[in-house]
Formats: sequence, structure tokens, C-alpha cells
Amino acid sequence: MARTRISVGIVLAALVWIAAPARGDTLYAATHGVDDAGCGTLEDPCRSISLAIDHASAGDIVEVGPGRYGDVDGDGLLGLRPGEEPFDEGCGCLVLVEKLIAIRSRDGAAATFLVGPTLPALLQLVTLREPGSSFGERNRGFTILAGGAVGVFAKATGAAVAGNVILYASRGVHASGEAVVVSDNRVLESEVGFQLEGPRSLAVRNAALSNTLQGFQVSGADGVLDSNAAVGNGAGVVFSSTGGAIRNSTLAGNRFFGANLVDAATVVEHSTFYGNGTQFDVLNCGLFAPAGTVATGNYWGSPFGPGDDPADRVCGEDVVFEPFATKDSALKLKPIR
Amino acid sequence: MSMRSFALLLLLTLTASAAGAATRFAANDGVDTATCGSKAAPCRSISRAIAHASPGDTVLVGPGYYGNLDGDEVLGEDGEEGQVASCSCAVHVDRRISLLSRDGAAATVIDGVEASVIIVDAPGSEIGRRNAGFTIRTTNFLGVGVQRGATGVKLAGNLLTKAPGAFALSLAVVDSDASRVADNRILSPDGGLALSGTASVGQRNSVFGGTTEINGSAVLTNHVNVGRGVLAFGEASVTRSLLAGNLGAGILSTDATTIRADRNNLYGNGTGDVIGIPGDPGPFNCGVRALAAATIESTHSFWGTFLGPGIDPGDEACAHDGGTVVTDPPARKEIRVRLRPIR
Repeated sequence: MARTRISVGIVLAALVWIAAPARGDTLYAATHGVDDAGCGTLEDPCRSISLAIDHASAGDIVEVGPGRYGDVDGDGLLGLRPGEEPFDEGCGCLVLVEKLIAIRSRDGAAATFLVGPTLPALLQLVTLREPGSSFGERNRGFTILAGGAVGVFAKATGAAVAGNVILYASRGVHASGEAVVVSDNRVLESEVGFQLEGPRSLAVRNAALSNTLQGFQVSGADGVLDSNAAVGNGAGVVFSSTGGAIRNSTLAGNRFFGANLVDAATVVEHSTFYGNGTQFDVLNCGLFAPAGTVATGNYWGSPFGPGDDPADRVCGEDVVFEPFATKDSALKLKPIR
Repeated sequence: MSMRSFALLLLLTLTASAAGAATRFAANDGVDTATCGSKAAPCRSISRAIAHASPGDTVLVGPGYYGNLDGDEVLGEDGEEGQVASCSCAVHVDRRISLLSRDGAAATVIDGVEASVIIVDAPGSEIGRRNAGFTIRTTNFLGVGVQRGATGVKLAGNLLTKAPGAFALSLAVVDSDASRVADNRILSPDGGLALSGTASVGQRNSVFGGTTEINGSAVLTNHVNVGRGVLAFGEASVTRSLLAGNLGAGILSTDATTIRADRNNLYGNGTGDVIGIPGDPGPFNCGVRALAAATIESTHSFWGTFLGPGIDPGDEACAHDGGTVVTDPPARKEIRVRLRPIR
């Protein structure tokens, strides 16, 4: 009997081992790599991220060394120098991800740069089409100079975008897939920082700074912004969808307003609003919201709640803003490399 | 004096010093008044908080946006920076202070619009700290300028950028002795970092797009430059750094001096379409490039292959027009460059 139990245990363990997902390999791209048919090992890395992706299989990691990728020679074009990312006309992008892989840098955004060319047909630098695929991790992200295109376009369910610094983009991160997670990124000097278009997407601990239009634009149902910063943008946050929430965030110094909602079911809580509406002093609106919106526990720039400068006002009838916070709290952004 | 007495005296001195220093506050929910700067009544502008500070004070800046508040591209209006016209800058640090942010660079923006953003004249000042720095945004001028006489300045934890399409030669210029530049990120297609003076140090900074220019006896360590490369002059040195993917040479020197440049990673450099003088081979594939009477000692460096300097995918050691490069022994594998995360 005891022998039978042991045998059953061994068989079960074997079944569990077989059923578990295969442990992925790591493929490498490096600035001192060479694109060839066998590249991608640690000893023989690819020069381009795209070829390392081509050589990867589902479950693999593509790890990118420090240096410059994309428009390697700075001529605004692609393909004239070996190792430049190829332009994919199908997606209008440089790096297309159509398999379940994780792409990350070895040394972080401060040492790993993806530079877009000045091609009119360039729509995105990175496109995630495979559900569950990811681009960057905290401390293992990329700096992307987007040249007026979208930095990262996450159109797959459950995709993740993390740890990146994105500049000069039409949209820093455009998440159109369902339940995309966008975390620990910074988008600066772009038009829109983060666009969450897919339903149930989550943006956590990101910062949108000095973007000309919106810092965050949420057009997918039930999108959640948690612990983000929107500072110095045209508008801090625009929710044009139903449901969702803004939590634990700082929306400060945005020119038109801190946040604008269209659905009273969007919850706004434990956030800080001040210094907004600077371009239209008369309005001084931290929040535009429809009647019935619940916006409690927020700090409005004064211990007495929303009001005139130096506080921000709540613009909209019958918005529930009491109880409000009487002081602001430090934002919980994590440092990134 | 016994050790115990000395320790007591030291403690008393430190306590007295700390008691003398105050903290002034600036915040997006502040108001510029004749008395602003307390925690309960912060100033709206950093400039006003500095004006109310004394040497040795800390000016602590809350999250939000400072500078051109109403978007009219003109500074100096109510609550805006640029109230000191004499420096042509948004924020003039004219006394020894520590200028820090509460929530870090990712939540605190200073916008200089059409002026230099921060000019430092006061020795011993501090602009940012790791996790307590600023996003410093300029259009066509300096991000931070530390003037020649302002010795011992610290510049740390900041992210320097420029507006799209604008032109900036250098985003940070530190032209003073014994200064320390650490944990900053400088992002711009052209502007970079210039560090000179005696015994000034740059550590763990990252420059993308432009050049890092070092002069005097400045020392760079754990530095990243992915842009146009490092220009090294005088007795400057650059070690344990990553100089990769630059359009020009990773390190270029033209002075009749010896540049210490050991233990660096040098690969993927010299990629740009740089038009040289006729007969000049240019920086193509040069990890380092010594011109004229310059000598660059770049031993123990990694050149992209374990064999040392060479053709692609390695970088070459380029000694042109009488220059000298010393490479032996090379490193057989990459040297890890340590940057710290910043908020």
C-alpha cells in the first residue's frame, strides 16, 4: 500500500511538471551584437531588438543591453546601417511583438535608448499584439525618443508596459487592449502622456509631465489610475468613459484643469488637486465632474476644502467632496533606473 | 581634550548648526507674499522662497509646476519664477541653500521657457538630491548653470529636458571647483553636460543625445553617454563608464595632455554621418579618438569583443594626426556601470 502511494505521488509530480509552462530562455540584443541567423545568445547577441524577438519563442525573455537602438546612426532613416531596427510597414512600427515574450533592458531606461526615425509612416515605436506580452520592467525599461509617433502601443489583452521614459511622442503609451497594466513609466514633452482606451486598464505609479494635451486620457470603461502624477500638462486627466477611478494621485499645475469626468460613477479619492487651471484663472478648476460624482478624501490645496486660489475649485453641481483631506500626502512613486 | 569631550563638542556644534538652519517652503497651493515660506503658508514660487531664505537654509518644494504658470511664455508674473531679472533665469540661487523637492523629479517641474532655468552663484549650494530632485525644462537656454565662483555646489537627482524642437547646447554647465554632479538624467537630442574646474566630480549621471564635456581636473565615474560622446580636455578623467552608441567617438581628446580613461565600456560608437576634414578619417567606429598631441590611456576597457579593440562589432582605438591611445591590457568582458534609480 505504501509503495502504491509513493508511485501515485511520483506520477502526480511528473504530471505537474509536464503541465507547468516551459521555462523560457533568454535571448540577448546588444550594441556590440551582430544581426545574423544564429544571434541571440549571451556570447553572440543580436544588434537589433527585432531580430532577437524573431529568434525568441513563447515564454522567452529578450534582454537588451545598454546603448542605442532604432535609428542607430542618427540620420533620421532606417536600414542604411546594419543593425538598425527594420521598419514594419504592416504595423507602422519598429519593434513588433507577436509572441508571448517579455522584453526588458539589462541596465534600465537611463542606459538603454530606442530612437525613432523621422519617417512620416512611423505610427508607433513598439507594438504589443500578443496577449500577456510586456515591454520593460521597473529598473529594466527603456528611454524612447518617439519622434512624434506613439511610444508603446499595447493593443493586446493583459499586456504590460513598465519602467520606461518616453519623450516627444504623440502618445507616450497607448493601451487599447483589455486589462493592460501600465506602471512606473514617465512620459514627458509629448502630446498625450498615457491613453487608456481598452476596458479595465490600470495605470499605477506613472508620471505625465509637461505634455501639451492630456497627461492621462481614459476612454476605456472602468480604467483605474492609482498613485500617478500629472504635472504641468495641458490637462491632468480626462475620463471620457464610464466607471473607473482616480486614486492616490497628484494632479498639480496643469493648465486647464486637474481632471475632467463625464460619468458620475467614476470615483475620485485620496488624491491631491492644486495649482490647476492656471491658464484660465477664472475657472481655477481642480475637477470638472457631473452631478452625483463622489470625490471624497481629496486635498484641494487648502485645509478648508475646495475654493478659490490658492486652493482648486470643484466645478460642477452636486459633486460630493466631503469629507475632504485637510493636508496632502506624499506621492508614492517608485524610483526607476 | 578627551575623545568624550571632543564628541560632546562636535555634537553641540552640529546641534547649534542645525538649530540655526530653517526650512522654507514653496508649493502649488502657496501664495507669494512678503512673509511666505512657512509650512503653513508656503510661497507659490521657488524664487520667493529663496528670497526669504538665509544662508544654510533648505528650500523644500512641493509637487507641481513652477515657472510659466499661465502659458504665455513670459516669466515674472504673479506666482511665477523669473522675478530676478538680473540673471535672465527662472530661479536664481544667490545664497547658500539646499533646494530640494519633496516628491522627486517625477512630480516637480520647473519650466524656464525662454530663459535659463536655474543659475547658481552661491558656493556650497545644493540643487536636488537623489529622490528629491526636479524635472528641469528649458527651451533654448541652460537647464542649470553653476557659475565659476560657486565652488562646492552639489547637483543631484534631477531630470533635465528640453521642449520639442528647441535647441540647447548644454543642459547643465558646472564651471566651478570641487562641485559634485550625481544621479542626474540629461535627455535631449543635442544638449548635454559640461563639467570643469578643479576636483569636480560627476558620478552616475546619464546623458542621452548630446555630449559630455569635461575639462580641468574633472572626474567622471559610472557615467553613461549615449549621444555624441565625451569630449575630454585638460587633466580630466573618465573611468568605469559606459560610452556606447554615440554618433561620434566614445571619447575624443585634442589637447596635448594625457586623459585617464581606463575601465570603460566602449562599443557601438562612431556611427554618425560626421563630415570630417578632407584626409581626416573621422570618428567612424572609434571607441576613443586621440587627435594632435593628445594621449588617451584607456587600459582595462571593454571594446565590444573579448579580443580588445578592433573592427565591428568591436570599437577601434583611433590615434589620428599624431595622437596616442594606450589600450593594453583590454578587458575581456563588460564592466558593469552602476546607476542608481531616481524618483
